[in-house]
Amino acid sequence: MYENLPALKKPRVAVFELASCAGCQLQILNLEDELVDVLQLIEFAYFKEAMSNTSEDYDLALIEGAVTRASDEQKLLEIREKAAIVGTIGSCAYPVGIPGLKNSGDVEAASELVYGAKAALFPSVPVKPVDAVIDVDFHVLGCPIEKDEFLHTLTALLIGKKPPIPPYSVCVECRMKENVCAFDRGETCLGAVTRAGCGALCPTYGSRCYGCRGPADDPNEPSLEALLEKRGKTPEQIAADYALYNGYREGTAGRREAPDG
Amino acid sequence: MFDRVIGKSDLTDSLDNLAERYRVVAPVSEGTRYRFAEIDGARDLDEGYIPTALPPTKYLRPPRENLITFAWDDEIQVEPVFDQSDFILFGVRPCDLHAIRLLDEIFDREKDDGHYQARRLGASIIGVECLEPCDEHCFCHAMGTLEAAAGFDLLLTDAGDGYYVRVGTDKGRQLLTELSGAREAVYEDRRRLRKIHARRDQAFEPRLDVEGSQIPALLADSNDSLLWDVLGEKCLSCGACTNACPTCFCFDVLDDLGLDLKSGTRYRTWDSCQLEEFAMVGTGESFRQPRDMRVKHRFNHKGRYLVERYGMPGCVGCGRCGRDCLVGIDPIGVFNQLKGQPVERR
Ligand code: SF4
Ligand code: SF4
Ligand code: SF4
Ligand code: SF4
Ligand code: SF4
Repeated sequence: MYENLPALKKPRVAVFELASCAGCQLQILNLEDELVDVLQLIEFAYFKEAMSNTSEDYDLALIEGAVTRASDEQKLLEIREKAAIVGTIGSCAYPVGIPGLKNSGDVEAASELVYGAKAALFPSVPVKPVDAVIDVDFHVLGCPIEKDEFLHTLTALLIGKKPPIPPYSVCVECRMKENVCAFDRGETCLGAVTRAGCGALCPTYGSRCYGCRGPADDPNEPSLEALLEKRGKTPEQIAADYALYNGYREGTAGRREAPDG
Repeated sequence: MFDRVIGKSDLTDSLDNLAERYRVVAPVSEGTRYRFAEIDGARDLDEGYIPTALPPTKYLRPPRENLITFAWDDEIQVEPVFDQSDFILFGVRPCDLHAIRLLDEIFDREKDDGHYQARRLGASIIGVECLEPCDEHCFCHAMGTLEAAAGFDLLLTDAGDGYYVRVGTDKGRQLLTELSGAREAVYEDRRRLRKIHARRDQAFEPRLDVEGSQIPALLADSNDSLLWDVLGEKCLSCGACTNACPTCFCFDVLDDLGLDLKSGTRYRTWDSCQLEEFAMVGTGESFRQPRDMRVKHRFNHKGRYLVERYGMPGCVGCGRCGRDCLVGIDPIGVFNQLKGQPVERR
């Protein structure tokens, strides 16, 4: 079976940035111990945070950041046209992350808050994740991305396997680590509906899950929401909790409504 | 003939000595709950513990366990990984001892699983009897697992000023030499032990409305119960219950490929029937997709299938799953409700 491994090509990789903090690109550069090996496997064609020479010739596109301007959509369509494989890196690109907070209120009001009298010069639209505009082949999740997960994704792509992504929730990893559950400390947590893969990073360090990796494959949101209400959370608080990282829902033009009741 | 009695301070000293020479793992308290962890001496351990977050079986089948390392250049190289380091597992409760017996049956006798066998060989297990129920979630008494029959090398029973020590295996006999200050038990000690056991049996109130031996039949009769729908709606599929369960043994096998794309590690990690992907087949269908079916499967696997297959309790009544479930799915409630409303069918 080993003979059947696909011939290893050296893909040309382009890293693009939409609305984001650039922290996920930085995580790639933070792979200090592995970067030399990584550069044996791939070649960067475009990576503005790391190098000045650029090329329009690439096979694999990695997109960081959320769609916040109409021009972003045009850019994404061009990328999808050129790249054989398109993946996202980080929470802003998927599920929508911190930029999605803009969807909690009025877009014009948000523009004015940031740009004041010059708001008209910076046309803004409700925030969307990348896969609301183009087909995406894989997501590397997290705020910021996990280095190991990025490497696993890369090696999987190079041997022609589906990049690994846990379908289950953060709780699974959290319990395996024997963490004290946030609910047992009198707090609340979104881990039960959030996709695992971070090793339950935040609960492990005494915090709680904020949902940065987006929904698990099979979240039981109604049951968690009933539990949150039982623990004293108001519907507004619950909606705000989701909105921190998950402020986009399909078919809502980027606006997530507060749940009823 | 081998039974011993050891004073409490002598046991403390013995443990301190053992911890100097061996890896000793014992329950330690962590605020409101307990965990099995390595200790440096007797002062670290908390004997009054209720079942720990994860069961002590995590030392026999760790959440992540390397199975082989592999590499290929001109030829393929595969090296199995076995961890056979000696350690002492101190303070294991009777419920968990029963769980270890079941795991032995599955991984050692039935499956001949070398990775489990290596860890098991390295382990010396010192059990501690329970004399009163740990909290409202446990129901070992009903499952017949309060009495520790095997699974230990040594078994301690608190006899007030000291411990009564029973020997379960040859390894346990050898361990006796490590218990400095212990004396041979005499008739009077054994009589006292009988009284302690009689008092213990009184202290455990029945918590199940059904006899433990009747649970397989109860579950077989409850296949169409509406209760499964109710539980399926509540269950978060968080896997807390199966992670915490001392008799759960399901795993997934995955590869960690190195950046040379030519070498790596194959490992296994705990899996759970409560997760959607568990029963998914290569073509993408899952034959147990609805959440209520998954919950029903777990209770049937614990309460019925394992009993039918191995003749041992599959659930040892430790109460961990009920203790950890955020939405209150507790086997005591489930069995009692099934018993109370067998007519409610879908
Ligand atoms: S702390 Fe959060 S992620 Fe961890 S078990 Fe509790 S609910 Fe799940
Ligand atoms: S615990 Fe939650 S918020 Fe923290 S990194 Fe993981 S998914 Fe993100
Ligand atoms: S612990 Fe409770 S909510 Fe979580 S999977 Fe088990 S039964 Fe479901
Ligand atoms: S099913 Fe629950 S009570 Fe039974 S052995 Fe497992 S964790 Fe303990
Ligand atoms: S099938 Fe489920 S309940 Fe049974 S051992 Fe596996 S994970 Fe545990």
